[in-house]
Amino acid sequence: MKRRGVGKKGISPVISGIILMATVIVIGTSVWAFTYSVGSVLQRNYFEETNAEIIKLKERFTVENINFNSSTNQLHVWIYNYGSVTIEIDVYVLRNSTDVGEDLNGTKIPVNEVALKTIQLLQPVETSDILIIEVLTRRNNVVYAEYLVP
Amino acid sequence: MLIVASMLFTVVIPLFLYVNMVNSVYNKAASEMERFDHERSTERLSVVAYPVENGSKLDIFVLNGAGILTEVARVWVTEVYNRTITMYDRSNMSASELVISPAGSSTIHGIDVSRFGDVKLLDVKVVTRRGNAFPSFNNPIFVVGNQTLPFNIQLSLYTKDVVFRRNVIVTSVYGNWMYSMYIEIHMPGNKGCNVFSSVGVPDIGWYRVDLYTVSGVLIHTAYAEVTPSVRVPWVYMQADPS
Repeated sequence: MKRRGVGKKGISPVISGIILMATVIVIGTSVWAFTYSVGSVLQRNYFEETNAEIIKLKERFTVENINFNSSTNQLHVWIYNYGSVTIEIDVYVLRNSTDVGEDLNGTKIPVNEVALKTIQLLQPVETSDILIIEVLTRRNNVVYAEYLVP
Repeated sequence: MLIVASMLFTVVIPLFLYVNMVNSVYNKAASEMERFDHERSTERLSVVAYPVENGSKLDIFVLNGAGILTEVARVWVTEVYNRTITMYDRSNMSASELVISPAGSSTIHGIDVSRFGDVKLLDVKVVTRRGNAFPSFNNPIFVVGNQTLPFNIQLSLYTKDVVFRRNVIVTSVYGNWMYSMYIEIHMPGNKGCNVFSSVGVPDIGWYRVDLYTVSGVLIHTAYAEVTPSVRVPWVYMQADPS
């Protein structure tokens, strides 16, 4: 009775070495490529997040002047962008923590420019009322101003 | 081992270096903005506005009390009675007058306020390029000016009255010319106010200015000389009875 396999020749050590090396190279290259792509994605994400933070950091703006027109019940708010990036703003007008007017157009203000926002108040205001003007950028920076109705 | 080494040199270390580089860019931006904020916080302007040309224009004296160059971006003039606001920017003002060197001063000439009429109560504010606002020390400024004579005497009267009523009589010391006028203003609030008035006079020479209450009590007398070189002398008066 013959044992199975006895008498057959095995793979030569050279071929097996080549196969082993090829396997190692393929697996290694795959792992390297995967790691490299993950690294690239991480780099890009980190850059984008940091760049967004830098732009947010460079936003500077202020409420430069406010005027109330009692005949039209409109509030005029001048906002000055003195930072180094263009900003997009929304404006809220609050009285006693209640929203009495807003402008949510996301007006763009270029660097070193002043924008006038005219806000129609939804409720009548009276002399000596204190209005809080909240200016919010689309990058979530906020500036508050207080206005005493004359 | 070879793969780990290659990953270390081609992925991990470059990623580490890249993150460091991005962090340093962020830190640089943060430090620039911090410096900008610090500079902004050190801005100190002293502002005094006063009427010229019979009250139709304002000159604004600006003293830079800080150690940094400051540029005036805008001037806001609010007419307090009507709540009318006018903004003046580089298109209305001379650019050379707007840049003020450290510890230097500048006068912004000829801010046209004729649109507010002859009698007006003005609130003046100067805004810098860094976004700071500095109101004029002598706000609010009451201006009366409707004279058309060739020379002027500028009256500067300080009062704390809420309702200010005074008679002013200007007489030529060596001539027979006389002019009297009545000033009345109602202050919004009870703070002090600078009342400016321009009195037209016909010729050079000495003039006497008497300030009276409406009941005829003399409050103050002052003299002013109009000369070819000083065509618009100023007279400062305490306008409230002592």
